[in-house]
Amino acid sequence: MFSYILGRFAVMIPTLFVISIVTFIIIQLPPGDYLTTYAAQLREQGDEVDEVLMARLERRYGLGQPQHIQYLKWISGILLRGDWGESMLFQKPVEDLIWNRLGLTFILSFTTLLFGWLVSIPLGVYSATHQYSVIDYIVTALNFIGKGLPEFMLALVIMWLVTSYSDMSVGGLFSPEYMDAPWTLARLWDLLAHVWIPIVILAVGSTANGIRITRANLLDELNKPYVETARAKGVKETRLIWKYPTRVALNPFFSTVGWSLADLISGTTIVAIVLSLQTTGPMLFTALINQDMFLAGSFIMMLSVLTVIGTLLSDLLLAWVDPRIRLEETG
Amino acid sequence: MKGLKSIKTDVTRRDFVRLSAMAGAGTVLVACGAGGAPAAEAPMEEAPAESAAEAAPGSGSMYNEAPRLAEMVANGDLPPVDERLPVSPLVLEGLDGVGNYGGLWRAGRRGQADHFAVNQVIIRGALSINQELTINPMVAESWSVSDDATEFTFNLREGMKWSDGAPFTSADIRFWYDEEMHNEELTPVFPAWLTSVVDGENVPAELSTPDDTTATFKFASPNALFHYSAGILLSFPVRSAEYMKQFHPDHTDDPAALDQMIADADLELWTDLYVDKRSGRHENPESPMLWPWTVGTDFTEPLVTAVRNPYFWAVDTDGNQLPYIDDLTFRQFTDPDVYALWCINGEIDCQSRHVRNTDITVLKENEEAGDYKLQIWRRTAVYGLHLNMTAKEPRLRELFQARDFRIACSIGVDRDAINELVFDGTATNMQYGPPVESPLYVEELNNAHLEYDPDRANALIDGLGYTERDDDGYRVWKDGSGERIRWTMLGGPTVTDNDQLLIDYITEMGFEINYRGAERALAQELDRNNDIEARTTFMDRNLIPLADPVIWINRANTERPWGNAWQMWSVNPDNPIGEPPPDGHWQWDLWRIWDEIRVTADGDKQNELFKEILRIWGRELPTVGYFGELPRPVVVRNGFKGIHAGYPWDCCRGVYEHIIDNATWYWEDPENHM
Repeated sequence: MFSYILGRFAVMIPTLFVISIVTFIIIQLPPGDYLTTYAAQLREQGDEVDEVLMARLERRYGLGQPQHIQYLKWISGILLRGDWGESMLFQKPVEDLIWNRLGLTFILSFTTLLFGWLVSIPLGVYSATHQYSVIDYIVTALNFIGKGLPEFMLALVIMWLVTSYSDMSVGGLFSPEYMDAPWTLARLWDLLAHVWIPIVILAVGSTANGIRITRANLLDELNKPYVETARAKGVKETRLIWKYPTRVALNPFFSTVGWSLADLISGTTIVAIVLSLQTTGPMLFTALINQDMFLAGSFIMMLSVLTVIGTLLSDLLLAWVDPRIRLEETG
Repeated sequence: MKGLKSIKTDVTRRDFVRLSAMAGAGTVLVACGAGGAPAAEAPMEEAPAESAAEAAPGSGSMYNEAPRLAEMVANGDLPPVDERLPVSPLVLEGLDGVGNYGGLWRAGRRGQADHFAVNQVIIRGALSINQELTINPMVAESWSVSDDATEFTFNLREGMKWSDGAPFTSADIRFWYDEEMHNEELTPVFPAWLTSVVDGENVPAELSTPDDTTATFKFASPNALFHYSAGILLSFPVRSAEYMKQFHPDHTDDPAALDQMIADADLELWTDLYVDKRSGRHENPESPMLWPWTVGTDFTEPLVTAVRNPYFWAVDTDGNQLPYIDDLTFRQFTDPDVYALWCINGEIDCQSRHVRNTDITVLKENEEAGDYKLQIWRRTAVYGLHLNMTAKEPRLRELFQARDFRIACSIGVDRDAINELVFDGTATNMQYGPPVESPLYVEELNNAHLEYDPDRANALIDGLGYTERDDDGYRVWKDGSGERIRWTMLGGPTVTDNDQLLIDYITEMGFEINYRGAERALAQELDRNNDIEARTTFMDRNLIPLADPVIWINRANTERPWGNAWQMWSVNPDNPIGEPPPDGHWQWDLWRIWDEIRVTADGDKQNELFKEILRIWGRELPTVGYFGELPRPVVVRNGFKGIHAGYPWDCCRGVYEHIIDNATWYWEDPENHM
């Protein structure tokens, strides 16, 4: 097992290296660079394009240099000094910008993930064990609505309802008066009053997914001989369902947990933009739109690292939950 | 001051008041010293007398101040208001008269990088403009120009102070000019607006600062429009020398501390730290400022705040120090729908920047719920068709260069129908000219060839010899090839309804038009290579034409390709794509008159000459304009005073935020808006 993990790590390094190159090339692909985007933006605002400033910025970010030099500078900064570069858009070190938002993003995504699982597993199991019952039909119908409704649409509708029927200020995770305030109970309450909106919206889609998968998998398992055997041996029904077939049915959750890790950063982008949340998704989006190379590149590198680590983690988890996989490996 | 003559704005100060009263717009931003008075006898005596007379009797001080500041003075945290204000403060009169102190003004900001939202509200220029679209003093108390237009003198306000209380003097300008502009590490390319051209070379101006309140820029050759430069009109590049010195290796007292700061900021060069601190793009909260409000938070925060500057150097007619409003907040959103919801929910007090035209209906419907009024201003940009008279296809060139063809493209299009269908009739038919209140308004340009007369349009084209048509009814070229006349029209990434209708009308006259959508970067590329045959755009920059006349003059790339190769030739005669206009062409006249304006010191004469350019435009229609002055919505909460609807709005340089100085805006009931 240990050598297996070590081997996986060895593969990760070249993978990440290739990803870093591909990332860099893709970010550079559109015509122009950050400065052309910035100049265009200035003109759109009707501002003068200050050639002096442009020359200064070009030198500061090394934008005039050949791309491979730019790449080497960037990657060596990360590897040798842990320096992710400077965001051109914000004129701040990338790590400052990202860490600022990462905390909130993690809390939000993790809560959503947990919320989704907590709802979808029991409901999925119930649906499967009570197939074609009234409740199963209701759950299924709700599933399809949840799956079919675009999240941004749901976000807009909920915001509209909240604005129309309450005094609450929507958009963001805090009311303006608490944005800069120190942490107090009132601020926490304000956060709770806002945070349910994104959690519900995000959970609707993923919960629907989870229920469908659990239900379908469990239905497959329920008719397998080992279930019959257990039942024949007189194992109590609840214990039987939860201990054997459900565990197998949950495999998809564990095999996709790797992606959820990256989702923690970028998965909620559209909803976060619509809701104006101070999370990492909208920042990644802005960085890409503005061709803010170092910020966007660093984000994508982080996502890649998280995906690669996540994949490893989910493999390990799978091996841990599912004896069949564990045995295959050792055998 | 002998030999120097004050530059004339169009009306004298007295006329100003009279005019504005006539216009029914209430009183206007009256800036002391604006107008024809020679600089030497400028307002120094006049202004304080005027405001002092009105100051609250018995208070013992000449000026009044906000309660918040009075409290600080009482606590000894701040010197008295009379000491904070300059000898002759700027006197501003709001549209709703003398206002109330206090309150919070809430606005929105789209994304972290939207520093314009904040800057447009707070930044002031060395000079400003008002509702009559004339130039007036702001940071500078007055200015004058020598008869030969080589010397510009700016008089500063004696006793004016930075927001940290340190004096603002010509030494700050001196430091900026000598140590920033002339430092080659910091400013590798000397900015063109501070130079004049001698034998094709840009020669930097010489700055002299004989005393604390005088700064004279002396140019080697005339530079009559210097005061219209971006660094002077509506913006001001100078920062506090005292503050900036600590970041300048030649001036810091403590080089080790400077090195430490550079290292702490993860930077390699001192110039990068310097530029960050001088807050070019992201206002540095620590840097002393001159603006009515000073920014208090970093721009990456979700809520950017600004607070009143206790040293702001303007007063109202009663001698109350401005601004009236205490605090500003700019709350960040990423999706414009959220912003619209904030408006509807009454969470935006006054803003135009992010209000979308497509939301006008919903915002109007919810006025009562959100306790606001939607004001409609006039966005001055004009929708127009650029026919590239220097297109690569020679036959197209011949067609586009024919004036009658361009006139046909004007009268062959039913403006009213497009206006009605696309803009609900809210646009005004016009050619590309300055708005009606501008001193440069030329009626015969704005109203040239606006009537819809398809028969005459076709007759004009027939008169050019393009009479034959092919089987599908398209006109064919005159060269006997039998090929139909066609060209490609460039537009935005998706075709707009107005483009589509315009194409239909021109097709109707017998031409085949291919529409090509392009993203901005691609359009720029095509533009640079002169690969554009025709294009439609909204043309802005017509509010203060002398400040930014590039579309009319065609001597800088404007992405309005009506004579692209000529423009490229004029910028650089060695450019292989560039070409000089034909001999005797009116393009030469545009350039010649413009050159004359640039050496003409007299403001009235400049205006007269520029009107000549506009008349040529009215005759020739280098670009065919269709309509402009679309509604520009501004959300204004009820009880928020000082801003009135109906004024012209131009994107350029944030002008629209300053045409009525927002330091004079106030809350009727500030206690309810804290």
